Amino acid sequence: MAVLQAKGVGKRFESRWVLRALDLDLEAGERVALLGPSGCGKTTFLNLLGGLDRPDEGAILLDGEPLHGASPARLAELRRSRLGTIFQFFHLIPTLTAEENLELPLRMLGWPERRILDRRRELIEAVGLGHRAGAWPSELSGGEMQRVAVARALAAGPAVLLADEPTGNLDRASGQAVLDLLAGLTERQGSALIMVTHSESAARICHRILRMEDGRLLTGAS
Amino acid sequence: MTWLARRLVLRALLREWGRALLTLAAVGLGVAVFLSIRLANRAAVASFEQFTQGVGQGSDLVMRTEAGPLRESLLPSLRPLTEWGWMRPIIEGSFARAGTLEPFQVTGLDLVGLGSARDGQMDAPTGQAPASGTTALYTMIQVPDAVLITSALAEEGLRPGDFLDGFIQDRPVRLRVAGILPERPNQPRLQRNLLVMDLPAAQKALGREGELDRVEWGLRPGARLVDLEAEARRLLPPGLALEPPEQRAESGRAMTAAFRFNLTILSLIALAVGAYLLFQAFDASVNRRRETWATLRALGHSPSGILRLVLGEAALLGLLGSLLGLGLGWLLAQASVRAVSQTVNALYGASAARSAALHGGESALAVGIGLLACLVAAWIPARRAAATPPVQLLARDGGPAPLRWGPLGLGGGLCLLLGPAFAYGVPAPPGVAWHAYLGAAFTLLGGSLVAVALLPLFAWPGQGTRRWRLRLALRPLRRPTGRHGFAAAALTVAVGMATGMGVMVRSFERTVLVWIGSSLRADLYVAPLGAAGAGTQHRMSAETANAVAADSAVDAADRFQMLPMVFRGRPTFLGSGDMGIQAARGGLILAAGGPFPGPLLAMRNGGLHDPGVLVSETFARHFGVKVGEILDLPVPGGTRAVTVRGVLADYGNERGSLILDRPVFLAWFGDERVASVALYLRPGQAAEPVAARLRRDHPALQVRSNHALRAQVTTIFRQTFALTYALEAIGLLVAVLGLGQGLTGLALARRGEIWSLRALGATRWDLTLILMLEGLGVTAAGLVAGMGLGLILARILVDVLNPQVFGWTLHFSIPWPFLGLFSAATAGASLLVLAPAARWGSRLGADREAEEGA
Amino acid sequence: MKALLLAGLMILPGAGTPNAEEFAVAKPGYAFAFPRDHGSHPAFRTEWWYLTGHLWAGDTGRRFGYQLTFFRQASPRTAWTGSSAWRSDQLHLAHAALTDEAGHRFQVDERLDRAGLLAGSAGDHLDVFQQDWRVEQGPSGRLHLRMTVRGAALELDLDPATPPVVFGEQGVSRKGADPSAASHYITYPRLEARGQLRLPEGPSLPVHGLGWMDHEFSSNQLDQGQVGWDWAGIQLRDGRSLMAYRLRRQDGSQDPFSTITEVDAKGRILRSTHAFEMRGTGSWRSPQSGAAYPIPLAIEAWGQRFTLVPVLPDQELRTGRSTGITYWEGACRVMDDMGREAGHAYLELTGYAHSLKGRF
Repeated sequence: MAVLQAKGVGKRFESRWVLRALDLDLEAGERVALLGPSGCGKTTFLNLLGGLDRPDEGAILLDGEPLHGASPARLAELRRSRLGTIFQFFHLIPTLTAEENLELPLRMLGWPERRILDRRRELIEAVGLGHRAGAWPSELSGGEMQRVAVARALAAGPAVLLADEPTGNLDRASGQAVLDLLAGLTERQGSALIMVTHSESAARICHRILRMEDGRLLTGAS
Repeated sequence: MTWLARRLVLRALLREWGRALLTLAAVGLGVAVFLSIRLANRAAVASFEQFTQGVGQGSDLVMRTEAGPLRESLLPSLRPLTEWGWMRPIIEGSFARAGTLEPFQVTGLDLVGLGSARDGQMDAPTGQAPASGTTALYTMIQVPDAVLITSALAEEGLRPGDFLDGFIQDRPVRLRVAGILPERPNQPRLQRNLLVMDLPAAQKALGREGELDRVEWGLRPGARLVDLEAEARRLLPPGLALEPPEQRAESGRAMTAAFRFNLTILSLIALAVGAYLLFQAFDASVNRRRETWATLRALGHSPSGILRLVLGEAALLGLLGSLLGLGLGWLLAQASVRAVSQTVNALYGASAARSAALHGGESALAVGIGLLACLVAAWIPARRAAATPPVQLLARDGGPAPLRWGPLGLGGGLCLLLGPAFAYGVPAPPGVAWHAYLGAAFTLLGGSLVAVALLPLFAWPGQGTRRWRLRLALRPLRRPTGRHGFAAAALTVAVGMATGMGVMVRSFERTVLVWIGSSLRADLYVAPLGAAGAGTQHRMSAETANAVAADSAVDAADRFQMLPMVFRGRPTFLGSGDMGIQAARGGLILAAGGPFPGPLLAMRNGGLHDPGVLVSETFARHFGVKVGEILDLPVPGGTRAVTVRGVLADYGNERGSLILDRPVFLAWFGDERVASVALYLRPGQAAEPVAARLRRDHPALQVRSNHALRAQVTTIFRQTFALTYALEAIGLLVAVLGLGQGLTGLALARRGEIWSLRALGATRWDLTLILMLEGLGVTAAGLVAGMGLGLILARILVDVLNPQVFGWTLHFSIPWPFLGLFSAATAGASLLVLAPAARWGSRLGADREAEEGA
Repeated sequence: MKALLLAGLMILPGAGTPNAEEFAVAKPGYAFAFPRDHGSHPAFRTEWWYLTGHLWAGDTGRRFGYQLTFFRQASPRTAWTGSSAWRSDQLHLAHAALTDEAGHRFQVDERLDRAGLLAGSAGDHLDVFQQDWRVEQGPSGRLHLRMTVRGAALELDLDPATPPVVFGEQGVSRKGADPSAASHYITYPRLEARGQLRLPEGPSLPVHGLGWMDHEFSSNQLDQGQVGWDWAGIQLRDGRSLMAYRLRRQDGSQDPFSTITEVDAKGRILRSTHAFEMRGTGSWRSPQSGAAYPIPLAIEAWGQRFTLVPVLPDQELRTGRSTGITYWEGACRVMDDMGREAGHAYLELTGYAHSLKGRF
C-alpha cells in the first residue's frame, strides 16, 4: 500500500487554481522527484503533502489516514513522527548548535535521554559532521547546514521525507554530497522520499520522476 | 517626494495599522499622562493662588502684620494715605458647608468702598443698574448673614434668597445668598468655593471684631505709585509690613512649587517608559522595510531623502499620537484634578479646584514633547537606514544584530554608581534638589542598561536543559537583540520608578505612623468641624475651649493654636501648645535638642524671661536654624528674642512651624482662640461616652478619639499619594504594553524558525509557550533590574530628595509584602499581554508558507 | 435745597415709602445753637455741607473755582448697624470739583464710604471728613478745608465775614406744598478764603478769595411734580448776598415755593420773595450727557437783573459712582443790567440730563 497518497488534490489562491486534479502514490521506501519550472506549483504541492497546508479539493492520505481532515494537533503529531522536511534555505534554529538542532525532533517526541544521545551520535556520524557538531549554524557552511537539516529530518525515522529544493542553495560539490546522503539514509531507514527540484541531475537519485506544469502532473514515468 | 511619501509612509501605516496604533497609543498615553498632571496642577494651584491673592485684583500695595492679626485701631493713622490711594481692608476665614463639610473661603470686604473705587467692579450684585447702586448696597450691608456667591456656585442651583448652612469657627451658621458676584471680562473665572461678605458682618461671623488680615491699596487716578509707596512707608505703623501684591501670588506659587515639580517629574514616567518603546517601534519598522530603503538607494535616492521619509513618518505618528494624547490628557485631568487639589489642600490649604481647563500653552508643550520623543526615537534608525550602503541592506541577514551587552552592562553599572554619587555627594543648600534629580536620572539609565546585561543570565535555565521548549525559548536571550533590550529596559524603568516611589511612600508611611504613635497620646482631640488641612482658619473661641476643658472627665487639656506668620520673608506657621502637659503626658519626637522632655521643660522653666521655642524639622532646614540659636520672632508691636531649644519631627505641613509655650504666646499675642484641644481623661474614664457628650453639647465641633485621629491622619497621607499610585500603574501599563509590542517583534524575527518548528511537528501550543517563555525571560530581567534600581532610587528619594525639598527625615524601610505583591502583579500583567502576542506569533509560519509557495 | 432732592434719590425701593416718623422733621421752633448745629444731626435722615468758592492766585490773578460737598444719609432703622469702624446704617458721599479758567479744565472726583473709619462728622461742631477730604471749624470760628482732586490739592482757611444765616420762615426752609417738605438751612454767605492750591502738574500757588458754605438737614421727600431745580449763591461787590432756588415742575413752570432771599453785609436777611424769574439767555449742550443747560442765566427780582456767566461752559458733574446724578455746578461771573461785573456766584442746575423724578 502506498504510504502517501494524493487523490485529485487541488489548491486555490484567491480565485486562481494553482493546482488541479493531482494524483500521486508514493510507496514505502520509494524516491520520487517532482520536476518543473519555477512557478508551476511544486512547492505548494509539497506543502500539501506534508500537511503544512490544506487542499481545497481532493484528499491526501498518509498510511491511509486523511491528512486534510485531521486536527491541527494530529497533524503536528504526524509531522513529528511520520514526516520529515528539508528546505532550500535550511531553516536551522539559529540559537541551537548543530547537534542540538539535530536532536530537536527527538526531544519533541520525548525520547529518553539515553536514546537521544545514542541516536544523535549515530546521526552525526552518518552525515559526517563530527567535529562541527557543537558549532552554531552561523558558523557552518551551506553544505554543512543542509547536512544537519537532513539528519534532523530523518532523526525520528519518518515514513516520508519531503525535500524542497535541497540543493538549490549549494554549490555542486556540496549539493552532490547532500544528495548522496539523502539517497543513502533514506535507503537505509526505509523512508520514502519526495523531492522537489528543478535540476535533472538531482532527480537522478530518485526511482521516479514526475513532471509538473501549470499545476498539473504530466503523465509518464521515467 | 510626496508621491513616494504617500505610498511608502501612509500606505504602510494603513496596512500595518495594528502596529501603528500601538505606537500611537504609546505616544498618546505618555503625552496624556504628562498633560493631565500639568493641567491638574495648574487648576489646583490657580485655585490656591486665587485664595492667597484675594478677590479684588487690581491692588498696588498690600499691608500686613508680620505676626498676629491686624488691628483696626492702627488704621486712622493711615487716613492721610488716602490722598494717593483708596484703602481696601480684608479679612478672611473658612466656612465648612453642612453635610459635606466642603471648605469655602470667606472673604470680608468693605462693599461700600469697593463699589465707589472702581467703575462697575463689584459694586452691585448683578441685575442692578449702577444708578441705584447705593440703594442696593443697603440690601447687602444691613443683613449680617448675607453672602455673595460666585457664578460657578450659582450654576449648581444656588440662587439669591437661598440659604447656605454650615460652620464658621466653632459655631453653626446659616448664611443667606444675597447676590452673585459679577465676572470680569478679562479675568479668570472666580473660584467656586468663595464667599464674599460685608466686612463688619464677616468680622462678626468670624468672631474677630476689630481685626483684619490685611489692607490693600489701589492707586488713585492722577497719583503716582512711587508717591503712594513712599507715603505708605512713612506712615506705616510699627508691626506692619508692605509688600507688592505679586509677592503674595509668588509666595503661593513658591509654596506649591516643590510639590508641583515633583508631580511633573512623576508625570514624565509614562514618557520615560514610552521612549524606549518608541525606539523599539521605529527600529523595527525601519528594519522591516530595509529592502525598500535599499532599493531606493540603489535607484539613486539620496540618503537625506530617506532620512526625511523616516523622520516624516515619525513626525506624523508623533503628531497624531500627541493629538490623541491631548484629548485623553484632558479627560485624565478631570479625573486627577480633584486628587491634586485635595493634596494641595491637605498640604497647603485653600484649594478646591474641580475641573481643569485645557490650557493652550500646556497643550502645545505636551504635543511638542510627544513629537520630539518620536523624532528622537526615530533618529538613530533613520540614520541607519539612510547611511548604510544598499548592498548591506539587501543581504539576507540572520535577524537583528545582537546587542553588545557587555559594554552596555558596564556602562549601566557606571551610571548606577554615578547616580547615587551625585545624589549623595553634591553638597547643596536646603531647597535645592537638582543633584537628586540628576542622580535619579542616572540611576534610571544605569538600571535599564544593566537589565540588558542581565538577559543572558536568564538564558541560563535554557542552557543545559533537556526541556526543548525551555531551551528554544530562552536561548535567544544569550545574545539579546535590540528588541529584547528595549523591552527589558522599558520594563525596568517602569518597575524601577514604581518600586522607588512605592518604597519611598511606604517608608514615609511607616515614619509617619511611628510619629503619630508617639505624638498622639491624648484620649480625645477636639477641633472645629470644618478644620481640615494645613491652611484651615477655623478656630474655637476661648469660651468653647474652656467649656470643653472643664468637662468633669477631663484631667488635662492641651490647647493648641496655630497662626500663619511671615518669618524672614517666608510664610510659615507659629503655634503654641502647653509644654507642661506635653512634657508630662505627651511623646513628641525630637530630631535635635536632647532627650524628651528636656527641651519642653526648659521652655516651661524659661517662661517669659528666657523664652524658648521648638522648631519643626522643616523649619530648621528651610531657615538653617540650629538648637541654641537665638531668633528674632515678630510679635504684635515688635520682635522678641527666643532661643531654639529643640527640633521637632513634624510631617503635618510643609511650611514648617515654630512652637511657643502657651503662657508665653498668650502674653505676647493675647490671642485666646484655639485651633484644637487635646484632652487627657481621668483614669478610668472611657473615651466614647465623653466624646458623645461633647459632640452633643457642641454640634459645631468634631471630637475624635485617639484611634480615629490616627486613622484619619493615615487616610490623609494615603490620599496625598493617591495620584502617585495612579501614575505608577500607568507607567507599568505602558511598559507591559511595550513588552507585548516587543514580543511581536521578536516573534516576527523568529518566523523562519517558527515555521520550521511547525514543520518539525511543533503544535501551536508549543510555539505559544516558547514565545511566552522568551517574553517571560525578558520580564524577569526587567523585574529583577527594576527592583534593584527601585531600591537604589528609593534610597535617593528618602535620604536626599525628601530632606532637601521638604525638610523631612524619613526612615527607610523596605516593604517586602509590597514588593512581592508588585512583582506578582507585574508578572501577571506581563503574562496577560504576552499570551495573546505569543499566540499571534505562533501562527506566523503560515505567511511564510504562502511566501515560499509556488 | 439740593439736599432735599438728593435725599429723595436715596430711598430704599424695597422698603417702600420710608417711615418718616423714624426721623425728625424740620419744624418751626427749632432752637439753633452754634457751633453745635454746624455738626451733624443724625436724627434727621439726610444732611450735607456744601462749600463753594472763587479763588485767585496770588500775583497772577489766575482764577479758580472750587466745590466740596459732603453728604450724609441714614438708612431707616435696622437691626444690624455694622461696627463702629464700618457702619451699615450711615452712608457718606462727597463730590469735589475744581475749575481752572486759564487751564480750561474742570476736574471732578467723588467718594462713597460708610460712616466709621473712612468718613464721618462730629456731632457738636463742624468737623466732617471723607478719607482725605475734610472741613472743620476751630474754636476761633475759622474753618479749614482740605480736598484733593485728580492730583490737585487745595488747603484753605476760611474766615466767616458774617455770623451763620438761617434761611426760611421760623428756621424752616420750605420746598413744596407738603408741610413736611422742608429742611433746616444754615449758610455762611461770605467766607474770606486764603490758602494753597497745588496743581496736578506741580506748582503750588498761594490763593485767596471768597467762599460760601451751605448746610442743610432734613428727612423728607420731594414733591412728585418737580423734575429739577436751579440754585444760585450770589456774592455782590457791595457786600450783599443773594440766595435763590427755583424748583421746576414737569409742565415747565416754576413751583410757587421757589424763593430768592437777600442778605446784607452783616448777614442779616433783608428780604425774601417767591416772585422772581430765572431764565437762560443762552444754551450750552454737554457733549457727554447731551443735556442742554440754560447758561448764561439771568435772574430778575425786585426790579434788579443779574446775569450769571459761567467761567467755563463745561462744569458738569457726572457722578455715576456715588449719587448717580448728572448736574451742572460752576463758578460764574455776575453781570449787572449794564453789563458790568457786579460780583461772583456759584450756580447749580439739576434735572437737565435726566429727570430727577425717575430717581424716586
